Amino acid sequence: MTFNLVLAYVGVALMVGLSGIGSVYGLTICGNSVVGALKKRPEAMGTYILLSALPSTQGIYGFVGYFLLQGFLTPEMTPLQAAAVFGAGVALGFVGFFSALRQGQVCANGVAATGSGHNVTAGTMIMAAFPEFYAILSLLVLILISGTI
Amino acid sequence: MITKMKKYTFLVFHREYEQFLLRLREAGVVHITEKAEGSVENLLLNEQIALLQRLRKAQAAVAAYVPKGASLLTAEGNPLAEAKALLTEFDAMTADIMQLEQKLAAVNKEVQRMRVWGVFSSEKLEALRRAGYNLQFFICNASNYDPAWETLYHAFVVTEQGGNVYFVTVNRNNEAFSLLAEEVKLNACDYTRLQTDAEGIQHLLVAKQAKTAAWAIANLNRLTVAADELQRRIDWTRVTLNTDTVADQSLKLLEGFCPEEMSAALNRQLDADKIYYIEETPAEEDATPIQLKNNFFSRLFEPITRLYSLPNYTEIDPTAFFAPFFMLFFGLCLGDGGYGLLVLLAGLAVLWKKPAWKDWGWLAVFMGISTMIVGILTGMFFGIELEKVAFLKPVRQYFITDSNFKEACHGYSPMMVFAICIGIFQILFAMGFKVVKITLQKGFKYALYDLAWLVFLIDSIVMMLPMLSGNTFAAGVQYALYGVAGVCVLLILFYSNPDRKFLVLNIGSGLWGTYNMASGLLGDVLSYIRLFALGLAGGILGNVFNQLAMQVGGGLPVWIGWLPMVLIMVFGHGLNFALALISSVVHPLRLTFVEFYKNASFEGGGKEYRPFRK
Repeated sequence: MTFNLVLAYVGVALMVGLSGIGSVYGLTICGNSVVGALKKRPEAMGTYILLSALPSTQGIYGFVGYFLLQGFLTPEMTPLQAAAVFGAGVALGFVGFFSALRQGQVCANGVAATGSGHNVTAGTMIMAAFPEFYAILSLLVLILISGTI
Repeated sequence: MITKMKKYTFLVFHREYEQFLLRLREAGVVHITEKAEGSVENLLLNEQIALLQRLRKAQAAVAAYVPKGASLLTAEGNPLAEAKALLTEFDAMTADIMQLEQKLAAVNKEVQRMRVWGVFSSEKLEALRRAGYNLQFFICNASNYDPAWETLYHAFVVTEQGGNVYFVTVNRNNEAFSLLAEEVKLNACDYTRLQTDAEGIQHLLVAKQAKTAAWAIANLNRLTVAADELQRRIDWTRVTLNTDTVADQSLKLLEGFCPEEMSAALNRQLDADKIYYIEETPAEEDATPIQLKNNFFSRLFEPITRLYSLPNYTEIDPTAFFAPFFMLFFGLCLGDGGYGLLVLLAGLAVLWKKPAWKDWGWLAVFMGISTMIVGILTGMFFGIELEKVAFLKPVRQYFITDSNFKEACHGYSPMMVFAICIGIFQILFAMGFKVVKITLQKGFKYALYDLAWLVFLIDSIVMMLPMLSGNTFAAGVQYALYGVAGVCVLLILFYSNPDRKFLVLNIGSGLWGTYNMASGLLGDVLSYIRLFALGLAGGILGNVFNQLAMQVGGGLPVWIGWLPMVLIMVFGHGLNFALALISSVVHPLRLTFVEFYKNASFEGGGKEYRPFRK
């Protein structure tokens, strides 16, 4: 019983922790780029914020994941439920981490280009949505798992 | 909505051209078509643009020196002729101020450094040196200070501060020795004299700033007039550069666009001036400028449209179509009735105090109302769960909360289900928008493929609805739905390109489109889950700060307990509100620009309508 809970909580920790850390890295990469771009074009701050905030989503997915799974985290949870929570958590955690990291790099390039006077906001947003798609897929897997256990 | 335009081609005799341009500028309704090479190849224009940039920059800098409430002097004479001199004068004044500020900072730093050494006479120190006494000043960590130095090197401790010992050694001649301490070179003046210097610089700085302020009052309007006049000249130069000379340089040819509703007045003026012109409907390949014309509510959202890109002339303006969604999404992301009330109050304050920003004020009012409605419906007000409030017991079953509706939503949070549903609705709406757009641009047969997808998706959703309640449709309805789906599948697979001679050849692109739609739709729909997550996160954080305040404040006597309680609540909710506010703007923007625009097949690339006028 205790092992089941421990396994599930490790999964939750990886899910929330890794996806959150990914968002932290992604946002920091963008933030650094914004500081540089601000020196060139401070008037484009609105666009910078828009692009820089995109990698925050993966951390939110981790949080949603916890919210969906919290009902299973009881002393009565079965080994199957524990394994499912662990697996879904690991998947969302890792995919969320790398997705946010890579999305941050895409957005940082967009910020730098915007700072240099190019109008690339739309293109950057679309390109940045691609790496996020896989974090969404992981979240979908988690939703489906939470519906079957 | 995009204002309908008329394209004009003017043909004017070269001697009358200047007069014609003056009259055209007076009319102020024609947007001149720019040639690609027009603006970059002219040295004069580049110089004018560079000067204008300097003037605009200086305007803001000069305005910062104008004291609050001061009335500016009116601009007289010819400010543009003196623009360069004015800029040089201002640059010199600001350079002086900057130099004094740097000097003051350096002297103040020196005052701090020298304060520990107290008051001394540099003349007496010099006299001691001349008499053969070598004085050296040191700083070392208190633990490194060796009292034996007092005997060996005649060390005297001046002071002890911050764990450091400041001391001086007095020796005859220049006997070399080394100590475990940092030697300091003293300033020729002690800190009191340095302080006097700093005060002198400060006075000078204040005087310079006052002089610059007086200069700003006298010249800010002159700079503004000069910049505006230069802007007019630049516009003029641009127009002349975008004019073609034809018929052995005797005729001038100019193209422009005018809003349809103003074309009658323009035509009357042109006829009266005996100008030859052609008025026609813009062709698809023309770079027709865009003037948005929306109702009061939609107009507030036009800056969002501009942030991405203006629609091109062949498109439909999406502003009115995403505006209600954006307002709802903002409310869902912020998700707290109390925070909505703050946004509403901020909007009203802007409307009251800053009439110039009234559009932003109204936008905040609408966003605030949306958030209040969402927050109250979902039972959250400044982090307080309304369903747990005693006096709201009679209405607690109406709040859209997990405890009331989770079971009805098959174990899922009702707000999560709502976020997904509103996402599906917006995507279907965007696809409908695309069908109308393609129909208007190319014709209905080109929109059939997208219409088939739209109908197929709606049909599929309708087929799935009975599953949720465990019922089934009547057989006839079921077959009708299958039939519609079948027709849609045929169109999707074989009608992706109506121009192909053999529609069977479309199957490849039909399958590829199906793959893209399946993978894209999934990501797009799930992306709306952020609406639920952000609202939930904001609400929970607000609730946590409330609990924290109660715990800390409740554990103390009442007379002092309220203080940490209020501090935690103000700080906590302030932080939560600020973060949630940023997210509530950014994430709806993303849903609009990525999910909505993608499914609506928004192209953009329109150029703003900027008429040639005074």
